[in-house]
Amino acid sequence: MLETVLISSIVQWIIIFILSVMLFALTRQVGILHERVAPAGALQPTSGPKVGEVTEKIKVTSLDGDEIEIGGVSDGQNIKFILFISPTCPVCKELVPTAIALIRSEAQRMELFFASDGENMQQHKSYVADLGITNYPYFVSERLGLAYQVSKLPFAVLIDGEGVLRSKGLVNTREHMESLIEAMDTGIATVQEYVGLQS
Amino acid sequence: MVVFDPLVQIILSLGFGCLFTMSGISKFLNRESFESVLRGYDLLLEKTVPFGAVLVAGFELGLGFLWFSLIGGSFVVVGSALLLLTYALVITINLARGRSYIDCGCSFSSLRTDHNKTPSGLSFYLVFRNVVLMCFALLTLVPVFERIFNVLDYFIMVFSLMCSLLFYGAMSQLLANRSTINSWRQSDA
Repeated sequence: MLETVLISSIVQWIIIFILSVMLFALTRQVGILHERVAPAGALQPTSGPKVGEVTEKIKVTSLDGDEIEIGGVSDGQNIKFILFISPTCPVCKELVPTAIALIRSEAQRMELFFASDGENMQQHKSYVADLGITNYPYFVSERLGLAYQVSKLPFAVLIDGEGVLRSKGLVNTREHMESLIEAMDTGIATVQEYVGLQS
Repeated sequence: MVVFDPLVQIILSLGFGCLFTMSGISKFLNRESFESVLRGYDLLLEKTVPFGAVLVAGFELGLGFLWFSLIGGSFVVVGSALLLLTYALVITINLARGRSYIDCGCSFSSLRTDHNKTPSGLSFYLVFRNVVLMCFALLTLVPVFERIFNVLDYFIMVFSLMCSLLFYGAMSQLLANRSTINSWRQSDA
């Protein structure tokens, strides 16, 4: 009997030790992954207006019927964060709550707008209701999409109070959206530009 | 009156011996990095930083050897508890100042070898960790009964010590990972 307890105790300690080694190795691997797979910035297309350019003033009408001016030299209003989404884009649905949370943390200087394209207004209205973004301006404008050369969604554009395009890019994650804000704050548009400045 | 099995006391003593010795040696070997960590805390005068770095590393190393030798008794326990409490206070002061981004220097005491690569920021988890370690150190002051150790006791001693060190290393790594993830999410950086 005593022998059985002894052997069982030894076996248990060996198992605990193996599990500890595995736990430590796993945490190390996760750590290494975090170091190697640091978040990449938003993909910035080369087409459309360049970062730093004064944007063209475009009048759009929101789903509520309010008229809003996007771009152009204005009188120092808040920064406009325009997120281009669509009812047919599954990633957009996932990204909208993240965009709301992010812009809420930047509420003192930033306003969130949603832009889309398409003719079926009823579909857009139910989309807005489903996402719970009725409090945010949502406009359907083909002209706006063409002006910023939006070819893939979700796409974000940041325009400052002076109407200058501060950053833009294809966004799929919170990190991508944060990278646009970071690019605006630092004045460095891309990772390549940053590396160029460092060397 | 509460009395512990002597095995628990020996395992804790050896564990703290390993912890302080590794930490002290690492700080001596990377003295310049440790000095910059001390500067980051912004609590010492610039002139005193090199002396402070040697003092802290030497104190840790001394404590480590004393824990291993199982001599020194309550002096070692109280000295270690005070050192851990000081670390907790220093971290809390800098967290209160809003300087959570500075390198905690914790990787000097963990099993990480690439501490120069990713500095771990400060968090209240580190304060909590130090308080827990302090409680474990104080546990060794509880009286123990006498008994003769057999082979199984030595087996348990070695394995539980190795497992504890691995758990400590894993915990330090998790805190470092958390710090890395948080640094990604800083929108105001």
